[in-house]
Amino acid sequence: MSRWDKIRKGSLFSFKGGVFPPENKFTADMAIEHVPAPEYLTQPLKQHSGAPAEVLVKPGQHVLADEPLTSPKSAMQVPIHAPLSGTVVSVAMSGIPHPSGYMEPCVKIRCDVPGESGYGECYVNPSYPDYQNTDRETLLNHINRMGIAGLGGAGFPTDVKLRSSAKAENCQVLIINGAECEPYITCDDRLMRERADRIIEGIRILQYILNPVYTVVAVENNKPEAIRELNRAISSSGIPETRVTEIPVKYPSGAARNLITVITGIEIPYNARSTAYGIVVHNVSTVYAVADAVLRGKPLTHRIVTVTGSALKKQGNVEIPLGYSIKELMNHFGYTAPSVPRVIVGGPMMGFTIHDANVPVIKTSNCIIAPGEHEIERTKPQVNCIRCGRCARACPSRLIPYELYAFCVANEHEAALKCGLKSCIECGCCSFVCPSAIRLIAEFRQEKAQIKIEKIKKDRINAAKERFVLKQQRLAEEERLRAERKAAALAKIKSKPAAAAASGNDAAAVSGTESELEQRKRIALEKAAAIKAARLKAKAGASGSDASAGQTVSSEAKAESPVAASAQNPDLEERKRIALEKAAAIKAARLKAKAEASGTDTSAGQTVSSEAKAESPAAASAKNPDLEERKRIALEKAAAIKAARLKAKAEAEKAQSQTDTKGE
Amino acid sequence: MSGNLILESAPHDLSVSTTGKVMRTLILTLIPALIATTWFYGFGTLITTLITIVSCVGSEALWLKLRKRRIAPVWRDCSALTTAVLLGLTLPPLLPWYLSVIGSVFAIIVVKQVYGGLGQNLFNPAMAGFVFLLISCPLPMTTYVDAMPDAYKIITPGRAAAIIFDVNSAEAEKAISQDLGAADYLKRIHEAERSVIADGFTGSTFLVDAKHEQPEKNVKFFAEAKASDFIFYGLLVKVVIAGCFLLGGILLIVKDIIDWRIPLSFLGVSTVLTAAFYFAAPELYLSPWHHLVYGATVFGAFYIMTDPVTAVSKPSAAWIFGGVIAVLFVIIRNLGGYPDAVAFSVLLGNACAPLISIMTRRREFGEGFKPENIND
Repeated sequence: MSRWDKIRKGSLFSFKGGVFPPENKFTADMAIEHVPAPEYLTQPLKQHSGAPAEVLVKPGQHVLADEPLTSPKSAMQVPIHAPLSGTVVSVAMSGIPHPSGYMEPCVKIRCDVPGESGYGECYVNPSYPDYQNTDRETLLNHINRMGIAGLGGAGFPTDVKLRSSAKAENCQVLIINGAECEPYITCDDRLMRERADRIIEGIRILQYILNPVYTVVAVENNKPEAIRELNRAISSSGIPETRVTEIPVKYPSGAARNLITVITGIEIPYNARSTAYGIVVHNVSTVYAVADAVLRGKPLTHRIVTVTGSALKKQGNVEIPLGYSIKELMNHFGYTAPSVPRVIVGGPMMGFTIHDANVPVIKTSNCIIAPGEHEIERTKPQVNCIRCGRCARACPSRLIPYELYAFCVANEHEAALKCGLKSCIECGCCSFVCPSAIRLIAEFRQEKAQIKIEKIKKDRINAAKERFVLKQQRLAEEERLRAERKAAALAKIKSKPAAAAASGNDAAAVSGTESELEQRKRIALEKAAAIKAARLKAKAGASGSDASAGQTVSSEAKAESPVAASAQNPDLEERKRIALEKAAAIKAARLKAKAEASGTDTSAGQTVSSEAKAESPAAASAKNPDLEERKRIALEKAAAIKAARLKAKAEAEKAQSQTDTKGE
Repeated sequence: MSGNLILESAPHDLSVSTTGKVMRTLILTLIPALIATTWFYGFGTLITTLITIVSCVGSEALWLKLRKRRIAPVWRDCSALTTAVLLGLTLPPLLPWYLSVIGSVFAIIVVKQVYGGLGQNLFNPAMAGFVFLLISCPLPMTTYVDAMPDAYKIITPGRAAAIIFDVNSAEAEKAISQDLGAADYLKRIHEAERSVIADGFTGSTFLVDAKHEQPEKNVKFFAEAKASDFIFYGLLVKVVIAGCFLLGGILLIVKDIIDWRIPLSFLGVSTVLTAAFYFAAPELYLSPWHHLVYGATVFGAFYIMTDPVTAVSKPSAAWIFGGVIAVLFVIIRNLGGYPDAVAFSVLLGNACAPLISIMTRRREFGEGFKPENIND
């Protein structure tokens, strides 16, 4: 049976490793409910993996529901939208759901209350109900504009994932991930049970964009009702080449690569992209959000969150606006703090504890667990590794965690990387099974961070080295050029006496070749002769006794009619003109200098030029462009200085911000 | 509530298994074998085991105290207890008490704690302790109690203790011999066996005797003679005890406490090799069956080689590890000077383990998969 037959028939493959933690899906039978609108919503600018987009709103501005708050300028940027209408209170640093309790820029909105103007009004985003006649690129851009990022947990921008596959046009299998393998979480289960039809619509849109050969909706077999609902929706919608495949319960079947293995039997290496293998995986709730965005123009402003844990009076699944405070949410569910209060965002395997519950729910938060006193045992004291190999048997990435751990503890970065540190998906299986209670995952995360820091350091050193080498090269080049010029000048100086001596020694050769010196001498002589002739000529013209001129025109006539004179004696006229021009230029320059000294601007220059014009129109007109040119150069210079100064300032700011980010 | 929540690193959910639980399960699976040993060889093994337990746990606690470490892990991880039980089962049942103590102290302090304690030792402590005693005092270490019917009635706790602690030991030995010579007892065993038992209730083991026959090339004849002699209490006792270890071992595999690859690889390779020796020269070498049943073969395969600390836990390396030990085991048994080769081959295998671990690599996820595999 070929692989395709198996995929179509739903026969399963399996992957090595995995664990079976208690499922604890207490909220599976609790329908999605709603909570009353909160007073404030705090939306972090960045709720996905990538870069935050640019803020569009200002404090005090009123925004409508679904109105974009940020606008993406490049790939990996995903905008956020106002879930409810309200007034922007601030755009400032605020706590985000992060294990280290980081602060990030957030838009805080005070929600409108009923009766207030603008309450409940919606911003109208474009929608594409007949997406089949819409350009794929338009749809992808729309998906990005609607702020959709992977809702499974990682928050990878959905449009980027889709685009890379659509561009390659090689999508073979589209897998919709409804495995939800983590204990406690039931939000996808509820979504599949209650809104299967919308999910199918989303699948159709993805099918249109990706054009896959076959589509598989993978659901773990502990969700029989979800499977039934999806099957019903598939048969009623008549969607072609799509099936629901039940997969056995095992953690982490929902991890993309492991799910691909379960469905297709193909293992995709961690250093390769799944799109290169023609397989695309999207979470069901992401698909649902895509359907909402494309068909109804609804941006991603709400998500379903499982709220569970025995420290709560009641548990359940809620659809809440993003930015809703976790603290408020827990209070809504009747939270009473146990003696060891913990709040886990995400599942018990891959989620993280938060230090302060006063942080918002974001796009990637799928579950809030408030464990009671004896729920989810606390960390046991760690003892020595006995290399029992359970971690290796449990690892879904086929690593040898105990070996990797030893390298990490010993700070052997190279060895750790060689051991497959990069392939670790931090699923927690190794820590889960470890009989010595070793916090393997924590160590791996730390090691990854350390390697990252080392890399940044190394890059910085390399950049500095490169700069230094370049500078050295530049200096050497300058030195070389200077030396060359010097050598050339010396050679020239040396060659002059040598040439003179040569001309003296061998006149015939010199006259024959007519050396430079000889030529210059000849020209000078000719010039002198010409001047003498001209002077004699002028003298003869002035006395009027120069018969040899052969002219009958008197000196008076000549004075009266300069044109005639100029025609008669062009050389003299020319020289006179040059002298006049020179005088005018000197005057103009002097005036200009004066004007510059007095700090006057263009008008002064104009005055100068007009004066110069008045003095000597010809000279002025000749000199004017020069002045104009100099003025232009001066202005340009000033502008360049200003620009350089601005640039330096910008760079300084940039450097500052860089050190800031590094400081983080 | 805000700002004072407890932080923890993921995963928050942990399975309930602990090192202590693993060790305790291992000890529990040894109980059938301990009962069988007592049934067939008397209370000697049980008393020796108690001595090793006290000295192992005591020396570990003392050592941790000297190292200024917490002593609680001694009780919590039960690793010293496991070593003690394994050592007690391997030592001759009526071994003088001070040898048991010396072996235990050596196993715990020199072999384990000096290397850094749990998880750091290079050699299996129980086996190293055993080999240390075997080399130091070969005679008492190769004198085992013969299997006898109702041994638990004849070698009573009191008599066994008297011999072990050398208090009125002559009287105890006399009493045992008298009981063995009693008419109703002798009636119950095979005629050929009476003379053997009447000689004395302790002696060298089958494997030692077979080794002695090797230069005369009488091994096959000897084995056949023994097989007919020991119709019931010789061979069957060995089969029952090996069966107990096998049962315990399978339980451990089911419970995911030991790696099934190591025993399988060891037993498979050693059977193939001993069969090759046997069919090449039957008059010189014992059959694979004898090798499997006599000595500590099954016990070693499931309980000693699989000690996680000193074995290789990588799946691919486990096969090699078991095979290497099997090769050493067969060479030592058939060609070497010591009759029971398990302890030596395991120690040599332990020495190879880090190298095997370094030289084997697990196929990483996705290795060998190509994009075109989709159309397979």
